[in-house]
Amino acid sequence: MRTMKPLRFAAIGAAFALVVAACGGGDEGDGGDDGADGGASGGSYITHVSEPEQLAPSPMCYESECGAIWSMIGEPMVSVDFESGELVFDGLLESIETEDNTVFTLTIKDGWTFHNGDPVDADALIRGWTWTQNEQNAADTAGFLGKLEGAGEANPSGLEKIDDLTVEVALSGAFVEFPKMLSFRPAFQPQAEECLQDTEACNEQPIGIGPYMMDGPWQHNQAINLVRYEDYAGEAPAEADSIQFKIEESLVNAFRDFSAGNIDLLRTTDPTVYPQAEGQYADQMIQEDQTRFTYMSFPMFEDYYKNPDLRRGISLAIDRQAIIDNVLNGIYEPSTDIVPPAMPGSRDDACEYCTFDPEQAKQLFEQGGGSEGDELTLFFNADAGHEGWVEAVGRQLAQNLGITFKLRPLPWDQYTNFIEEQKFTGPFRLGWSIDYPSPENFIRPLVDSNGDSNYGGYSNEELDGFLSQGDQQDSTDGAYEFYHQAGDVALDEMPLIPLWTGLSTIIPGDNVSNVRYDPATDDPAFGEVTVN
Amino acid sequence: MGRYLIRRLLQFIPVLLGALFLLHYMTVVGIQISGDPVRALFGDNPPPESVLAAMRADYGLDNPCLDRRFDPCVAMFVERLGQYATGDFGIDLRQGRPITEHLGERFPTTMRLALIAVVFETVLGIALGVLAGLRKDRFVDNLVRASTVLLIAFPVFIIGTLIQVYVGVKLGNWIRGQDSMPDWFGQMFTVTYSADYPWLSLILPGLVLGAFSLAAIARLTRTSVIENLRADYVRTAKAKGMPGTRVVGVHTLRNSLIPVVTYIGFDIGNLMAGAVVTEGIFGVPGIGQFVFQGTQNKDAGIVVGTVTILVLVYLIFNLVVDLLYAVLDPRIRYD
Repeated sequence: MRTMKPLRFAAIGAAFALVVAACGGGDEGDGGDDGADGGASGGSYITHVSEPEQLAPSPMCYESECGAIWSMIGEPMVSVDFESGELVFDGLLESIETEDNTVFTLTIKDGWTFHNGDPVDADALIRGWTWTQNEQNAADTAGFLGKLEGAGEANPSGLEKIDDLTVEVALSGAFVEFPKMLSFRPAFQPQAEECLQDTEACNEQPIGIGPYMMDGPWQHNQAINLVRYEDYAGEAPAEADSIQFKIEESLVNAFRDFSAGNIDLLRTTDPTVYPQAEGQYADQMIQEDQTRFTYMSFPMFEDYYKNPDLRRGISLAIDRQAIIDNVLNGIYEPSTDIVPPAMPGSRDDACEYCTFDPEQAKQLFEQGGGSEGDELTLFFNADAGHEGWVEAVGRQLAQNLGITFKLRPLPWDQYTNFIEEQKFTGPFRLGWSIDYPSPENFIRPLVDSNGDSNYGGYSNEELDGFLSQGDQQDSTDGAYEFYHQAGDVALDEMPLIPLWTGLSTIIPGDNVSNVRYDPATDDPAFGEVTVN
Repeated sequence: MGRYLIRRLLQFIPVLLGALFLLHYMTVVGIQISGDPVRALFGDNPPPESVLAAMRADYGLDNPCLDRRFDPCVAMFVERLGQYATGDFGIDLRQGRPITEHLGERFPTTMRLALIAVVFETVLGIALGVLAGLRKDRFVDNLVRASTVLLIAFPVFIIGTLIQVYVGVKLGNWIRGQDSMPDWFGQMFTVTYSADYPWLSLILPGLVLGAFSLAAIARLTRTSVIENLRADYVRTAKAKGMPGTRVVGVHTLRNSLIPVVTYIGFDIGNLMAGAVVTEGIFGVPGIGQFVFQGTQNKDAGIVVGTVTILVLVYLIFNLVVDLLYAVLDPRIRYD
């Protein structure tokens, strides 16, 4: 019975891991590789995906599986250096200019073509973005252009063609991190006319602009085959001649296929087979900090949880490292910030109350109105591998605070219903993963008063103010200063408890090399992989 | 015979309608109780509300009756019936592809899997049953009895996983590593289904799928054979001096097959719908997995459409079984 769940919940716990960008062109030595016919090493290899929901038009793609495909057939507009948080113009755009962070002038590099041969120009870009934000299309990634002037309309006023390669984009308000959002491929791809004329046909064989193109149509439930696009004009590496994404029903199946040599590169190891995988492939496994984290949110609409001291006490009573070591196979790291360590602008000492201090925990808990014998209900979505650690959290709270606890697992559809209707009566588990590489992407959705995913109902004007001040700065450093202050407010008031951040569990087989975890796509950098 | 057939076929109609309504009602109540299936399609980072609302409208899930618990949503049911009557099974929630397209891809795979399982369980099951029945309480009989109990006792997911790991991966890796072995031979030791070998890579899953029924058929046949060996007509046949193979092969076996055929007819439906676990372990993209996904996503279109077709499969095979009775037992006539 578990076969379907891992897929879907891998995607949930983990993600809907939004593929951001930065195809590695910036930080690897082979940057001199001038596109397709440079020093590509050839050969082909097989990796895996689960059956994607939809491939094209790309703005419909807001989950990890189609994201993996778009990381190769698409191209980011720009990418972001994850160390410094600065923009790198190694994608489709030559430059982005702005005076007020509201109106941006985008210049497209000359000479790019779609996989069907059409030119990539200002019209193609406007065509794509218009489609993304048009409410009629109900694109899953429409929210990325929610700040556009006239967003939702068939012809938004915020998109204007200046010349063949220049587009002016106007937002409804200042937003300094807008250029970094552009590193998320699916929402911002230019679209070929052919694709939008017949979206159903396009879904079967998407037309992109990236280093690889579809090799024949999508073979549902079997495979998606990519082959190098020889007229690719960009910088992203495309080492292998072709890549096959074998479609697997579950991550357990993917692991078994990998063990049997049917797959050359395992993207993620299912937690249920992790001990076995560690025994067999410990030396090969690539474990890097991922751009996502797990947290427990407090229902701020419940009186019991309104006192910050109580929330601080609960957070301090959790020994994160012990749970990771004993329940979670050691493939996580304790959170030190709302922003995961792999993200630009993350800090390793931001969260005062994320440490383990049972004495202070009990003191604060009681100061905050809690007392021994209170009953806490812990909520989590069932059948997604959360039972073990939520129970461990409950036991630690019981031991360190003297409370009793009740576990309340719910199926995902009921869980989302509880989320939307604010029905939780106790702390509830959730996760968040990267949309675009900015600390703002973790803070605003989760704790801003109007945050899209602020499900605990937390509201703090000071915090909101810091975020909007950050948006209006004209430099990354300036913006981070305010975003950090917003983060500090949240980490002091603890409307949510940051728990831990995951590690990747990529396993390259013997016949592939140069496998690197790409934090921007939360996947291996497929284009860099060489075949032995 | 002809009138019987027509009467039986007419009975299909109320059964199908009843099944359709029950399925519709159960999926509707599922949505009413646990909440919006559209929001649940997305994980921790959902798309904006306007997108969710548009999707709800597209799938007819914005009907206010879905907010009233236990409301049968008759209007939705009538609309669905109208669609089905024109051969339109709608589109699925997750991918937005026509459900008939999914079924077209998945039915052949499931049929192949079920066929392998049926052939395996029937041939081997009957053979073992006859063997055990003829040698009652001897070594062969004890062996068959013990091994069938073992097969029945283990849940499929344990047998399946063990076979996948030890036969598919361990033994399979060794065989695939031998240069002298032809490529196709290694493919029989499946880890997961491979579209390049649509039959070979289903052999192992088919054996796992058929294992439980194999045990059941062997036991049924054995009991039946033992009973019939004592029957008057068998004694008469022996007394006439008829050769042993004919006594066993025609007189005993033919009459012993009635319960077995009943079981197999019923089992074919089971194999197609109930292969969820086996299909899951071996990654076979079949009907069982499809219905399972549909129930998980509260995708009424998939559940109602596919299960209705499965109901039809059950009905047809039951009819075939009833007709086969007349062939096996000369005393039965359909007039």
